[in-house]
Amino acid sequence: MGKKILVIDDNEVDLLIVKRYLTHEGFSDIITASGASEGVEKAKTEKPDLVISDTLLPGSNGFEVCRQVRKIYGPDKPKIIIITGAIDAVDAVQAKKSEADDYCAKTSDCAPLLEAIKKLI
Amino acid sequence: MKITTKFIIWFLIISLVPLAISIYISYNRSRQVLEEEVAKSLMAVADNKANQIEAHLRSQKENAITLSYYSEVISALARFIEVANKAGIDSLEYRSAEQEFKPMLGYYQRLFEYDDIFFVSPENSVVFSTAGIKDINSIYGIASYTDSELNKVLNQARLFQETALSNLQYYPEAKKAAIFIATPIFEGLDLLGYVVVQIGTKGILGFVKDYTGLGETGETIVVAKMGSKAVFIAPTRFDPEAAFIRKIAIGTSEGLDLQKALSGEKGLGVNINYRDQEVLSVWRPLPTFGLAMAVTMDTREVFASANKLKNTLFSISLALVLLVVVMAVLIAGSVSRPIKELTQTTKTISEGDLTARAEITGKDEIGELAHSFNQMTDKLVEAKANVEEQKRLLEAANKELDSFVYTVSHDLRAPLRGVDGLVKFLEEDYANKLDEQGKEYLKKIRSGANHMKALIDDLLTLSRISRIKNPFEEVNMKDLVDSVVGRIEFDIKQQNVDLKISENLPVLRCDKIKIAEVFLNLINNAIKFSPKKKDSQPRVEVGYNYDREKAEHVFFVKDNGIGIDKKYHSEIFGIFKRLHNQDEYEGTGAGLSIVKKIIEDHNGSVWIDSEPGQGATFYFSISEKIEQPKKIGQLLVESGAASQEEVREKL
Repeated sequence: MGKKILVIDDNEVDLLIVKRYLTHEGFSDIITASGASEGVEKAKTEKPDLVISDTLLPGSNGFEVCRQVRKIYGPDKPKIIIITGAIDAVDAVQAKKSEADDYCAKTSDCAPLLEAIKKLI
Repeated sequence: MKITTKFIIWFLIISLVPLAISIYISYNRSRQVLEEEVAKSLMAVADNKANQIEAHLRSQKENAITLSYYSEVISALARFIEVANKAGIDSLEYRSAEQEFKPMLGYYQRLFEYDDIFFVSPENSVVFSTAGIKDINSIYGIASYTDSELNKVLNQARLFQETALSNLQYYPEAKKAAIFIATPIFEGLDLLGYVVVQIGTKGILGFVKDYTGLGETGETIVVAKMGSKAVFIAPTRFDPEAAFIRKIAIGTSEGLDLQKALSGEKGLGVNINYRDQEVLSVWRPLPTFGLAMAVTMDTREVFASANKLKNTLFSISLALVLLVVVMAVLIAGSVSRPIKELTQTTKTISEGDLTARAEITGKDEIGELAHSFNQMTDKLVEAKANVEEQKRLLEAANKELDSFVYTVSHDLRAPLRGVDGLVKFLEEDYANKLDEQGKEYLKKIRSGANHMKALIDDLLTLSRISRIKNPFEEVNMKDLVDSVVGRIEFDIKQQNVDLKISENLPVLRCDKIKIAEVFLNLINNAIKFSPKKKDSQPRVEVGYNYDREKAEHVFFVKDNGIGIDKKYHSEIFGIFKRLHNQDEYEGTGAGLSIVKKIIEDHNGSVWIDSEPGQGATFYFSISEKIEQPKKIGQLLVESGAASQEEVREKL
């Protein structure tokens, strides 16, 4: 498909799972970051088509990452999906405010995430 | 009613009722006394006048008799009769007789205040008059007339051989009234002639015109009976022309006082007089000449002092009323002002200004009240501060709990997700490197991890339901159930469930999201515990009844599933209470406790009707009168307990 996807998550296992499902879905150009600043830096240098960020990141959070990426590129590109490990979609409103394109829960089968990606790219 | 008004009214009642009574009594008493006074003095005047007039008239009558005994008078009579008979009244002899006797007779006439003294012959012809014989013949020549008063009195005197009195008669030609007193004079057995005196009304005028003791309107009226009339014989105070002009028809209602007096009665009474004035009248008969009199005074004068008294008393009463009102206002003010101020303070405090304090004005009960009130307000401030502190602590604790729940939900689930995800990778990517035993183990690991995840999720749901209250809103239950069914459409189709939803579901106020959770749990349970046999179709029915007696909406979810033994009916609503093992039926056992919790928040109850193998019916009720529970913590919607779809809609 040739789309470049940046996944930002401090949880190694979650990164592993997301990466594996994305690979299975045929995405080959996947880069990862385990922190907010690293993620923003990579978003700047790598120019990904899609950024997937966890809500809770050490020293920061996914919404902040989202805002910074939007500051660099503007409202249209890249697409941004915020994923959360919380049971409830407690942060949906906040995600909306930080201009994320979608927001979904982390699951072991990544079904909601894959669905969201399909809609965006 | 305001306190001041009450005070004024009570003061007026308390002071004015006795005041009015005493004033009334004293006025009446005074009036009576005054009237009696006037009446007494009027009676005294009347008696005095009556006596004087009577005495005057009587003396005139007695003097007339005395006169006829004087020998010089008898000699004069004899001489005049003789001269008149022999020579006539125009003769020299008559003139010389006149010269001889007239001075003497004129003297008596003036002495006794007679109008005239004259002599009459036995043939009823006047032979001498002090007033002049020509005059008397022209005026009283009627002496010879049968019906004249003079003739009558002469005949009477002759008949009874003693002095006789005529009635009072008015003579228009002479413009005067007269009474004649005739005394027959006998010489041996022969009638010599008559000595007649004429008495006029002049003598009583002095008494009539004496107004001593009669005030402004008092007057004396003297009447004589002439025919069927009582005729005024003297002028009155207010009508100088009254004499012989004014008359009262006897037997009519006018001048009753005088009519009574004429019939010989004495008396006192209120009357309407000839001037159409109401008068107090004292009437007396004057028997000597058959006259009658009344001394009257206008009642307006009689009661003038009483009226004056009335006015004075009225002024005093008015002044007292004003005084009472002023005092009432002052006293009421002194009593009610602190109460008013206290009331104002209470109002201020009730409006939220807890710094207001009542002014303590004295050591009386009101002062004490103000003091107690201030103490109470102090306590109120203290209590409020306490409550606010508690509230703050509670809010802090709640916030902490929120963040705790968030952390738990996030951090506990992350490793489980990893376990599940990685095991799945093993199953999928390394399937050919594992034997059956290994695959079985992996399956058990995943199942354990998922169960634990479900337990955490349910625990969080339960905690969330207790903490988070959504605003109640009007909910169409049919739409709600339909949306719930939409969420589990997949399961329904897959298990070929025969689902019936009653059409009569109502619209009622409730927490929409939580009641949806209730239906979701109950319908899910109904499907989950449907009969396991291949040939039987799961049947689920959602229905509704209204319990009029309890004023409750009752819903039920009925299935044809495996049923529950009665001995477990009370247990199944406990948390994580399961009657089956994990292999048989999935789930944590939290669903019914969540249902119970939600329904209890709606003032309702949950119960079950079931027997093993007979299916089960779960009922829950929602009270018609439910109060919005106090909100603690965030709203469920904002916290995001909404479904995945709803969140997507938001985005």
